[in-house]
Amino acid sequence: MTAPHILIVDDDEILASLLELTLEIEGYRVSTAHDGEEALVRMAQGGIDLVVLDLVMPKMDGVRFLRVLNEKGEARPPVIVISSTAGNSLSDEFRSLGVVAIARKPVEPAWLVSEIGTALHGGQLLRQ
Amino acid sequence: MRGDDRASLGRCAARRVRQGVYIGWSSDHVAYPLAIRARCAALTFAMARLGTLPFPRLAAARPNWRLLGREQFASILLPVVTVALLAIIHQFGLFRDSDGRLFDRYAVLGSATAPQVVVIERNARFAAMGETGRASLDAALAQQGIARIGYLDQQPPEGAPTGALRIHARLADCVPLGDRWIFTGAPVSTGPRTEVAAGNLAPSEYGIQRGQYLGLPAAGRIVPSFEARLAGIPPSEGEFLVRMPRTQSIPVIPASQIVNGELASTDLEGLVAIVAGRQSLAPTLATSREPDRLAMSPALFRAHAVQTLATGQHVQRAGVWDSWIVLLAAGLALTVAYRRSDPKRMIFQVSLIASVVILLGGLLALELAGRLLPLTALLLAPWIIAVQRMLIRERRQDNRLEQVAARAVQNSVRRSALREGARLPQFVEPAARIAGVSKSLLMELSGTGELALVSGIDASLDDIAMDRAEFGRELRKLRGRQGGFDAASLVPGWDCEARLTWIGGADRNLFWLYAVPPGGRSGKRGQLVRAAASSFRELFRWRADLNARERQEERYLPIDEKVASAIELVSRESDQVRRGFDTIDTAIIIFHLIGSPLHANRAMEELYQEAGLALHETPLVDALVALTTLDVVRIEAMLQELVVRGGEMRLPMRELGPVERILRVAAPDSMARGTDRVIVLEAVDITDLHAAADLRQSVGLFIDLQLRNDLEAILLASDLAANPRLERDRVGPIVARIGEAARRATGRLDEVAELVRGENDDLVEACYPVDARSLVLQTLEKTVGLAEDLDVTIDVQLPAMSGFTIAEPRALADMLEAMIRVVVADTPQGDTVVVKLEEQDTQTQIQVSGGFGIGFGRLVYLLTKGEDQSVGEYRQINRGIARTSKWGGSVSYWGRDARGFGFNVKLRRIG
Repeated sequence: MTAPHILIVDDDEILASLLELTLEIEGYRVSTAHDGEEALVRMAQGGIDLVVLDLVMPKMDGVRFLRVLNEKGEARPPVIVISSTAGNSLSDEFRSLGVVAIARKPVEPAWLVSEIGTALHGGQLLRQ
Repeated sequence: MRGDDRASLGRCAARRVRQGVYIGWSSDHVAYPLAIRARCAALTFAMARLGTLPFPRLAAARPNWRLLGREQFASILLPVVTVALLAIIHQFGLFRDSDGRLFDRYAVLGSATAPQVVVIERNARFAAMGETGRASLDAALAQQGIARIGYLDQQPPEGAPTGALRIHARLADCVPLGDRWIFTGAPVSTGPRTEVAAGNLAPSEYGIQRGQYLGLPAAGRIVPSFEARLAGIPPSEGEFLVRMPRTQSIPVIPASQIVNGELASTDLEGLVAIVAGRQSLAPTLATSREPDRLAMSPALFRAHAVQTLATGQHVQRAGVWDSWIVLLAAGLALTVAYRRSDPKRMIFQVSLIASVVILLGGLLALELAGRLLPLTALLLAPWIIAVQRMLIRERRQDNRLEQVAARAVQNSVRRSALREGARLPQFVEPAARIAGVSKSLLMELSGTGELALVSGIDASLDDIAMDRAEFGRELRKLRGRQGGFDAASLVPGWDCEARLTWIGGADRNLFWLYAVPPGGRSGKRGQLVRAAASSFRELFRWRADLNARERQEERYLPIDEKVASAIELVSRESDQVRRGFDTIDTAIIIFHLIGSPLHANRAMEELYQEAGLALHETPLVDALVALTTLDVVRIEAMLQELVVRGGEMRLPMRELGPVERILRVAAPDSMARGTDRVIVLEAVDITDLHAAADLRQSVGLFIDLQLRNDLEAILLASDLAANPRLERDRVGPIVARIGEAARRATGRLDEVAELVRGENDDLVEACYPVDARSLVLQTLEKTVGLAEDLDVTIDVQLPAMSGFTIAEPRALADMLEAMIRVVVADTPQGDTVVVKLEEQDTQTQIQVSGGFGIGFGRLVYLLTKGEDQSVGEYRQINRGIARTSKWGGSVSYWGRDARGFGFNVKLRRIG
């Protein structure tokens, strides 16, 4: 069984690398991108099962990334938004753009892992 | 909305007003239109109660116990009392002679009437004829057609009557002295067609014979006077005034001529004859014709009296009641006339006109009614009343001036040292220190010549090198002298230039000895000291003048001098207050309760100018409409609350220029009681406050967002480090990441530490992390109107969210606004202007482009002329470019004819 592939999109390099390591320990395959444009390129390559997305980023912010992704009309993976500017409730616009969970930083790693598991397997935690 | 709800709403609003809370017209104010009418009515009533509106119902609202005020009552009563006094004086006869002389002057100018009487002189030739001659005369006169013959000094001849009525003048006496007259020693009638009449002459008035009896009361009847009987007037009591026009002649014919038939038979037809002897023809009377000498005979006077009666021109003096009624009527008429005229400017004219009217009235009464009115009293009345009114007015003016002066002074000095003169000297020492005086002695010389030290700076009375008593005498000579005197020899120990000056005091005698500050008398400090001394002298003098009455000094200070002092003091104080007022940065204007502007400081004048308002002509409501975004109805409703309850309100002010302000409208609590009637409008500059709030919000947000990232990293790293599934060799790099995140957080805190700790004095010009997207959107809002007017589309390209960009938000916004305006204004109708915001890792870029285009050289010229020489938007851009470099940013621009032009602003992005 191939582990799900998660794309982390965050302009904060330290945070992205720590998230990457955390999710790798949890048994996921992880890629990173530091802005929306780079994330779109990675998405175009396919194989992404879930996106962990920051909102405020240079070049292309998270909201625009979601809109562009949505405009392409392709099958899109679920998205979990973790951002300093995000609220804790999920707005209709985010829901329509494929966001399944949203949280304001800092988030507990356990919560994130749990949300990812829920989004990918309906709550079944995946470990290698 | 029920009435209770509205009342509750009113109470809530009132509470907010009292508490000085900003009223922003939240949802509960939606109901205002329903309550406005009632409140406006309440406002109107309140203003009327304050006595500021001349509403008729004001009088009805208060019980009016006195129909007339004290002054009005006096202005009516005094004329009535005056004419009553004049009537009494007239009644005592004090004006009898002057009234008679007035009649004389008028009567002698009258025209002659056809002779009705002739005087027959019993001459010597006639006397020689004896008794025969007398009978012949009687017959001859009857033949001539004489109707009545009067005999003076002699009885009519005895014998048969000749047809004419013969009247014998007999003297009547009062026996005993009283009002009853009797004829002694002779019957009333001495024969057929022969009657006896009273031959008494009325007493002269101060030597002038001008009147005669109509009849005299005798026992049971009235005996006609000789003249009345001759004239055929029915018997009556009283006197009449005899008219003797200069042109009136009475013929005197010798009796011998008549007896001898030397006259034509009809020469005397229808006349009345008075036969008189030498005694009656002797000039023994002074009359109105020649009042200075005895030039008229009693016979001729009687003849004039008969002529007057026969021609119906006799005049009688007005009776007692007539005089009272006429005088009181005149008094009331004069009261009305004076009440309707300005007593100071029209008093002479009104009095003159009244005199002329009185004279004309007197003339009419004389000619039409045959009555001589109390002319002297009537003519005196307007002038006496005029003088009274002048005196009353002067008195009232004095009182009012006294009150006004006292109030003005009270207002002027209420918060100043002048109120308590005893404290004035305390101000000398601080003033001297401020002026740089190193040594000073303020001394007081008592009435007994003793010298006392009031205050001193590094000096004592022992420094004075002169005998104390002698010094006191010298000081006494200086009292009242203006200016200072060289006093270096008095204080040789001071070893510098010194001056001695009297600084005044009516009840105190103060002298100031001081060392001239460095720079000498003509230096700025020296001039300051002299100005201070002069000010003290003025203050003491004003205080002395204004308190003169209170202290009941022996000298009486005329009100005009007191008022002059008050006006001088008030105007000087007002001038100083105005100058001080002008130095206040906050724009302030004071309105009267009715909304008319009273005074504004310079800052408010400039603000009005900026808003296009006329300072002295714009009522409060109009000013608030122009300066805020509220409508008239809301503003009036707010002012209604304010004037009734007092307190203050704060309103957001419409944006005028770069300064942000709020308006504070305040009214004293005592306004409704009518003691204070001002409304103060204050435009408070909140640019600094607003900038500080913006700064704190932005910095707070920056710290919050950035630290959340860092804390997230630390949380993840610490969780990883504790994870047993992590290989041991990977723990080290994880811990290193924690340190890295902590250092980054510290760096971000350091970046804004200066702003957070308030170490930056200039908050308005401080640069800090701002949300570039929000700033661009706000700027676009300001330029949308221009683009719409010019039919230009603005293509806005912004990220959905933006990070933090370092900038001075106001300066950046002003520069961007100017850039957009310049490009929009240059863009052809229907074309598009692009405004684009892009964020890179460490840089934020804002681009404004479009327009027809402008040559690059021309653009460079416009933008590099220097801030002072650039115009309009280019100046703003120029200023912004200069400031951008201070934030670590840069501005570039490009342009080409027909290819458009644009601006590119690059700024530092930090997260």
